[in-house]
Amino acid sequence: MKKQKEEKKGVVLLIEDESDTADLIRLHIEQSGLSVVHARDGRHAVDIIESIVPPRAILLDLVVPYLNGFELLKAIRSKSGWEQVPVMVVSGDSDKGDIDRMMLEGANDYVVKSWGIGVIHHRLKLMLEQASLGQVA
Amino acid sequence: MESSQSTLQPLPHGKEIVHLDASFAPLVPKFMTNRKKEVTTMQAALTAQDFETVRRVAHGMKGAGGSYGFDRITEIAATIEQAAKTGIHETIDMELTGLGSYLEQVEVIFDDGVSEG
Repeated sequence: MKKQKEEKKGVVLLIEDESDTADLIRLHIEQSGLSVVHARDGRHAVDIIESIVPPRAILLDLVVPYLNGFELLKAIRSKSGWEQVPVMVVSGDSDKGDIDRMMLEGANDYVVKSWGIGVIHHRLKLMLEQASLGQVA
Repeated sequence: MESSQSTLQPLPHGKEIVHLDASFAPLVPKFMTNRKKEVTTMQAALTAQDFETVRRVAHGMKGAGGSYGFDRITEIAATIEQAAKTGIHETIDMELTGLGSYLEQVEVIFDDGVSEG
């Protein structure tokens, strides 16, 4: 029954290289009934993007090894079927230039890690609700 | 699970208490162990004048600290990251000493009353 529920709620792709941060985000997402596919670096993320169906949402760390967040967002948006997948950038930095650029290049939201896991989780839920209503920018 | 708000309470004798949501409890011991390892990594990198490693580790620590609600860790890591970008050895050395002390002294209280000190 639990498996059926998770499958119904869907999968979130988490791209995050810092293991403790990934564990915390995974814990919160899974307690919402969603499943998590975790990519630990840019190359791993590309492998996953090439091998799974579009997820319900993507949480994208801006700074990960091998490929940065800008390159990964471009890969996500250029893949057929992934154009409308909601992407939330989760970054340790709050540089206005980075925020503007990510939003211009197709991210749906940008959250700074220092705001805490509560904000990350809340904004993810909002993004998923907007996506289900067809309101994601 | 909705709220993960933490509060930082400096005590008169220097010890600091961080309040976290009880759902964090299984993850905090590993979190603290990894931060202490990273202090050692950064100290070794600083000795070798490897500022890029210091910057990279501090950047990761800045995000991790913020996600969990350890605001002081984030503050110190951000200072170290910035100092590493410009190669200011003395600042990094001083902040790493402070960070090491903080990690030894901080006491975590979960909202169910269990503490991890």
